[in-house]
Amino acid sequence: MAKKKLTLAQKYHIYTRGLDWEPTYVSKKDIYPYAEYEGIKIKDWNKWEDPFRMTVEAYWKYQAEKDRRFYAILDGFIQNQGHLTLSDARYLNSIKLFIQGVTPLEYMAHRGFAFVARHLPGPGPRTAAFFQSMDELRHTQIEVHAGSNFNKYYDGFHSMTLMHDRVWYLSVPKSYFDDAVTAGPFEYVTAISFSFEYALTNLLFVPFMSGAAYNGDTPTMTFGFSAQSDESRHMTLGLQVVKFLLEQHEDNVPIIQRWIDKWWWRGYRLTSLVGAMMDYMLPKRVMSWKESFELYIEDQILEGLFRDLERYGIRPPLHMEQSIKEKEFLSHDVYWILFSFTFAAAFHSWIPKEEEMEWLAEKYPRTFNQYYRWRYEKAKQAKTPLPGDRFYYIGLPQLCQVCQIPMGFTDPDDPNNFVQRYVEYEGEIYHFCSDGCKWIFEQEPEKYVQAWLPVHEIYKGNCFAEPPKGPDDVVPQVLKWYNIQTDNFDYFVSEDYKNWKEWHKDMATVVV
Amino acid sequence: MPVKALYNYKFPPRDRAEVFGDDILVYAYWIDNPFFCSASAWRVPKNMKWKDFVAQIFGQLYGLDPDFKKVKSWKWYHFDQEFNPSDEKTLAELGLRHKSIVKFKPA
Repeated sequence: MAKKKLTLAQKYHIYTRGLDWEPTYVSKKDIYPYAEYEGIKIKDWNKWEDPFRMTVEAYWKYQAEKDRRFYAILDGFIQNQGHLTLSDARYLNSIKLFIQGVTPLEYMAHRGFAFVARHLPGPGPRTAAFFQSMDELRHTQIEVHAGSNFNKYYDGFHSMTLMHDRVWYLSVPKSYFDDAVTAGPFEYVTAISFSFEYALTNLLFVPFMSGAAYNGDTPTMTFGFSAQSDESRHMTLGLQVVKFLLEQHEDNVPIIQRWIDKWWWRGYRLTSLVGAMMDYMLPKRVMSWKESFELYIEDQILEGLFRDLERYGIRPPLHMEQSIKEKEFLSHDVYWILFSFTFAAAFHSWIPKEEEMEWLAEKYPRTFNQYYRWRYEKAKQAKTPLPGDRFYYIGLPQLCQVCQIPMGFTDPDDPNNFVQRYVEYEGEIYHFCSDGCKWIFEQEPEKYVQAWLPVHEIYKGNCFAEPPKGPDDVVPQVLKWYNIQTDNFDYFVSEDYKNWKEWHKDMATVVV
Repeated sequence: MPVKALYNYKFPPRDRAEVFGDDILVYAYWIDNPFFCSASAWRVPKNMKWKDFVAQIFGQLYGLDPDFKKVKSWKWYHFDQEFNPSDEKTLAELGLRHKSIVKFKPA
């Protein structure tokens, strides 16, 4: 009699679980020391349903095929002098932020998932995390390769890893991921697989890749396509992780809820940088931050995902209401911060052109003309001794203890002021940009009192290449330590702009 | 709620007052003027006179606002409490401490 054939799901179940064994001379607790301390209770790892069925053999084949396509397109772009056919060199400032801020996070995600792949006691999720760990390493690699061609021609691409560790605005993404990888494996997967990959990734990737396509950046667009199929796997893993944990034990529900509350706000604050890029840095715009927030967060996540999670006893994240209230302010606040401190950044900023201001006013009819346009008018008057015919904030900002962004988030109920919160904890004062960040601090103050805040570190003397020779030498020594060379200041006094004009001087079509 | 950890998770705050010795960090914020994208941060001696502190923050930063010179006098707050600092007193004498915030607006 012929043997009964296994279904694909059964086959995969045996394939992944078949790599696991019951230890006999070492206790399970010694093998998986991180499995219990977070308080998550798992009754039966076998209830884990594989969110996708990927084998190592298929993985190599599939990714190699995608890589071949990617590198062929990259070669074509380079041979065709693609760096000249972008919409405008201003576009690349968003790619600089991406390379400096996001690419190193892909690498951290690779490490984080390697940790999860080692430390979760269930072989099913371990296998899934293993594939994601490889994905993240590959994403790091191809993002670097996609950006490296630009490094030959433009500023801001030359020192991503060092800058990620040191530069003030990059402490925002860095501290976000450091927070995640210093948590236990269950919080990590909830933070990254669920809250980031499932709930926020569309907000990051879709506008970013469409922005690349609109602005003539084929390598970044192709990277996006290549990563997209992996991302969909990551998203299904995120949802499966959370559902599995919720189904395993009712005691898990409040723990997961608290992590969702925390990581929603952490991730949301992080993506505010994307808002600034979308609304201000793309010469050809795709959609506004507000439109993207309404589509991906309000419609898909709030109305879709969280309706679906209600039956597990999960409610929408705490402080979600505040993000909705902020949606007409957020991107403007963050670009205004980046604009103000461009003298110390490895990218350029600029006063939006008149037609760009009109676009902003049209997309934000209740806020842009009322609260933001006048700042740029004033910025033309308020000149400083620094290069660029406009205002820079000659000083250091107060930073939020948790998200580490300068405390410049408008209070929607009092739009001429920023939200400011503080608490006293064990005799010391801590300041926050929002109720969300304050709440996160209060959950785990012991963690955030250790924050490496770039402004305070400068004041402690920890960020100088050499001891400054006087007050005027302070910023130059910090910039040297950041490895910022000609990467800073206004776009219209930059090497990028000078070169772009030079390269296009015989072309009638160029936008300058 | 404490951090959940496998060991006693307790570390000194990275920016505690003692790290700054005789100095303190003070934040300054111009109320109702979002031209300055956030409050500013300053490392200053505790014994700095109020007038010198004001001269520093106005001279370096807030004077850059073209509307600054239109202001004849200022109203001050320590955190959210109104206060009337006298020029010759030191920051410490005025009750400022490490990570205090002073706010101001045209009187």
